[in-house]
Amino acid sequence: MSTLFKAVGEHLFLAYSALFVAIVIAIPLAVISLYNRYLASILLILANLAQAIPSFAVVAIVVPLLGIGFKPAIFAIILRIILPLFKNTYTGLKNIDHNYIDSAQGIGLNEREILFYVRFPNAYPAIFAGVKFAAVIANSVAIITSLIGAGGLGEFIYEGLTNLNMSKVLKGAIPAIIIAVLLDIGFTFIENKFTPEK
Amino acid sequence: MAISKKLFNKIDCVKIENVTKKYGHITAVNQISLEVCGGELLILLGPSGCGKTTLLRTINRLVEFDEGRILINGKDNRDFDPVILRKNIGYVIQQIGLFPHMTVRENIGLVPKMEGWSDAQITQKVKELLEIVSLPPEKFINRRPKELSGGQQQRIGLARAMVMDPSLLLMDEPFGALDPILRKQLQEEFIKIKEKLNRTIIFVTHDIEEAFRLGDRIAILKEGKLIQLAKKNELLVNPADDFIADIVDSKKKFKHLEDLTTSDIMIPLDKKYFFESDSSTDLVIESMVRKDIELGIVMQKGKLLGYIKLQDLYQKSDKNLKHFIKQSMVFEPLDSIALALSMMKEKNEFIAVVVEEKPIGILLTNEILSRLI
Repeated sequence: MSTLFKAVGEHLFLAYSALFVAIVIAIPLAVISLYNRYLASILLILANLAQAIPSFAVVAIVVPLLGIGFKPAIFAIILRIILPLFKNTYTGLKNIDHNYIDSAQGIGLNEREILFYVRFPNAYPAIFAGVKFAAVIANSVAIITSLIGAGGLGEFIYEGLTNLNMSKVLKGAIPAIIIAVLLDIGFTFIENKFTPEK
Repeated sequence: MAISKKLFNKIDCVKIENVTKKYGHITAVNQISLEVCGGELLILLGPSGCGKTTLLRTINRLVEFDEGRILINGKDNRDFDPVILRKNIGYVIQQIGLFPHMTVRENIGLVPKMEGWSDAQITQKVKELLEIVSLPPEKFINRRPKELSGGQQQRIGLARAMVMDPSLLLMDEPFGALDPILRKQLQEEFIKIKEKLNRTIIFVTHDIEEAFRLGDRIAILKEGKLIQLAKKNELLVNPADDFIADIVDSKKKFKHLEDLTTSDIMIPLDKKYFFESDSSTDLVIESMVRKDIELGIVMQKGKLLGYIKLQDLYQKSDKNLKHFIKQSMVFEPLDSIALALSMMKEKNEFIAVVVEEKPIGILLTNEILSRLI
């Protein structure tokens, strides 16, 4: 049982430290892109490409670059989720009704004030949708990364599968499913709380 | 927190000198020069695409112009920081642009908050402004834009524009999206607010009636050029060219008042304007907000009792709708418009109802017409 708890802990740490780092990078990147069209278009193209690459391939490509273990695994997860996070945040901040920006400028708000008081509050739904999506992906990639020695719940699943030990497979899979469901409920709750009523 | 200083306490003169703005090959504003005197309401009038909005937006530098200069009280508007300049100039647009995630108080109080006012100061100011735009503060201060009708939102937009006590107001078709009766009501209210506040106002519209109703002077623009700037009477008597003659005379009916009847001029009444006298006040308020109207005709068993105004209904909580009814003048469809308008003018009435067995339309005093009588 204690090995299971340890695995759950590893899994959560792996997925959420990666998610945290990715958010910390993606949001400022989205803000900078608002004011830099070239950066925005390059990142958007990358983001669209990244969406098409299978998670498995992302994990695989990290190994020749960084080797195996916990750190390469975190890197792989970040790589997988950062662009969708960026894309949602950027489009949320960018695609805001032009009249809000117009009247915000007209009444004398500066760019920073418009960003924090007008753009962000109206982009929360899009940003949260992005974070939720990224969390779901991080959760599943964190299973795959146990293939490259990151530990976690994936280890039970892979070992179980190779030895045809179904109880071991379930020992890994059921907590992973529970985490995914709780994650969804939790994020939906936060989303409702922060999303302004329209 | 930087406290911006007041750039002008009073407008003596806004001088626009040879201002040109090009978008690629299109010249939106072409060498326009004009002067706005302190305290007046100047109308920029013209068809869409004539450059009136662009010209307006060069004044608070939402549009940076290519040539010429704009002097406010003798100072070049490009010498000011644009953000500070805009805090000193009120700005109202047709789409209003209230922030949906903020309450009325937060919307109006946002700039003061950025300026470091205390909460108490902000609340005080917001209440004052809500009074001015005739929305009872305690009922409206915590609402969100989606809980307001179009007319109420536009009032909040005006309140927001006035929060820093700007001595200059720029208004871009503020009543353009409202239904005709509501538009006239808000114009009427706006005239009163304007007299109370004594600001300098530059007002964009494409509606000739609105221009004549509100403006002290009218500047008519066409294809980026200023065609004529004059007082309204002068435009009627001495139009600069056929284009202007056409605009001010487009409704030839003004010339033949004696032939016109109330039914020619009235605004037909839709079913949505009718209310029964035994309805409860709260339900009527809710219904008027939903329909985005601020005027209602009250009937009892098919008989006209009078009219109600939405802002009156807010003033006191009284379930009995009858206590809010105002008597209205009544005319028949074939009455002469000249007679009707002069009677309304004499009694200082803004509204009259045209009745043919039942009410069929509404007459609102009309600035152009009443001037010609």
